[in-house]
Amino acid sequence: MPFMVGTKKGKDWFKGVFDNYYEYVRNYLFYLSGDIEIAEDIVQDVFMKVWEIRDTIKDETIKPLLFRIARNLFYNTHKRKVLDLRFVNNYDHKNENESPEYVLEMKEFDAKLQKAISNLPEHCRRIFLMSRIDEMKYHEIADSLKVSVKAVEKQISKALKLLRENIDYKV
Amino acid sequence: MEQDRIKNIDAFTCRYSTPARRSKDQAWAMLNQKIEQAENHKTRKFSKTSLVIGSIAAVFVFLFILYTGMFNTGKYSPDIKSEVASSKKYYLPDSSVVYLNSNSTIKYHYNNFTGERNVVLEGEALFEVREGRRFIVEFEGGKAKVLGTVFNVSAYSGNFMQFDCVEGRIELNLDVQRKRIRVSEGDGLYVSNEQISQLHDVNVDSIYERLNGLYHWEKIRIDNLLSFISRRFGYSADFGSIDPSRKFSGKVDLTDMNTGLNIVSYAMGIDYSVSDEEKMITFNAKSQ
Repeated sequence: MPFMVGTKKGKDWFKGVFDNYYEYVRNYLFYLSGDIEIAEDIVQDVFMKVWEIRDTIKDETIKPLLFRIARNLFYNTHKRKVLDLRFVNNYDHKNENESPEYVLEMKEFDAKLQKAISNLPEHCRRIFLMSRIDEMKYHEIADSLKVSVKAVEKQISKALKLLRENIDYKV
Repeated sequence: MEQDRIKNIDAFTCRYSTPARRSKDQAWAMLNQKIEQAENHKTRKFSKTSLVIGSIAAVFVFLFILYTGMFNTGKYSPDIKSEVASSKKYYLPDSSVVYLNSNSTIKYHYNNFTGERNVVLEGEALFEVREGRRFIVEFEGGKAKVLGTVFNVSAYSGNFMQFDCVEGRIELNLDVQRKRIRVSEGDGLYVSNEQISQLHDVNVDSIYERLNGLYHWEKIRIDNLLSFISRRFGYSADFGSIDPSRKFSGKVDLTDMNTGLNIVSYAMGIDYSVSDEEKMITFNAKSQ
């Protein structure tokens, strides 16, 4: 995620921050809340806050700051709860070689996987989804959440282990 | 086989995307509108003519403010209340934020002349105060003065109060103490039975967790704790045969009253009965 900053922290600077990070922060809030309406409302508050305090922000800390503000704003008003994450599956079942049985099997697997992801521990889930859906590199996740790269690696393998076990068990 | 499963999990997850209610462009437009509104609120540009008219008007306004400021009778806003077992976020006119905890009330008044901000609190609230003129929170048993800071005041009654300073510094002026007490960032204290007891470290997360009904105490007197829980849910407490000086440490879930009371009564060997008619909770030592 390359990030250019203007010489002055005006609208150009702010647009740069928005363009670079809006989707990451919105998705992060979705991983926390499981509710896109909440995520899209809070992400507005996050960027409003950044606009208000722009003159005190150091460019090199903007990324972790955004995620921290997002997390704080979310937990200020919402409880931790069991989530039911509903992702959009972009897989296109138009391949004629796929039998109906195979398509059904895949749909069942998809449902089980989404449920298993929802059931992952919060920290583990956030990191796993930032890696797989947002395609963030391990060091980018580590920078954003102020954790070590080792911790990210550990959480990803924990997520895969839990997902594997959870899906196996239910099959 | 094992590798296939991992591949399947990875392949599927990578095809997922988050749903969206509005596009990025729409979000940017909305954000700009909000910023514009906020900026307009702060500054207004005037043409030359309007500047002249404005200047004349300003003199009158100044005289009016001077008058109302000097002879300010302290008219407060209507009461802003939170329900039992829920919290409420409220923006004051200077965009300071107040998070009202369960069964709490505030009203505020801004002095036009001095710019001083006054809030009267009954119950518990977390304040995120915008920098500016003096900000005063009055409660039964005293008041707290601050500049820009973040702090929590729990004052359901004058017999037991708790102050936690998350950021900045607060200055307490309590009825029970003549001298002022300064509470610095990261510190908190209990005031009970007309004396100040125990300075404790403030954990930021735990202060915000209180808004969700999750509390943590260190060595709090049991009578103070039980009074607090009772008041929080709009009840009075009657201590029958329990030793009020015993102390409790630990986490209590106060999302509903019975959960909280069960935790404390189990830990401390206490029985309790609730009278909804009299709005009274009676506590007794557990019979052997």
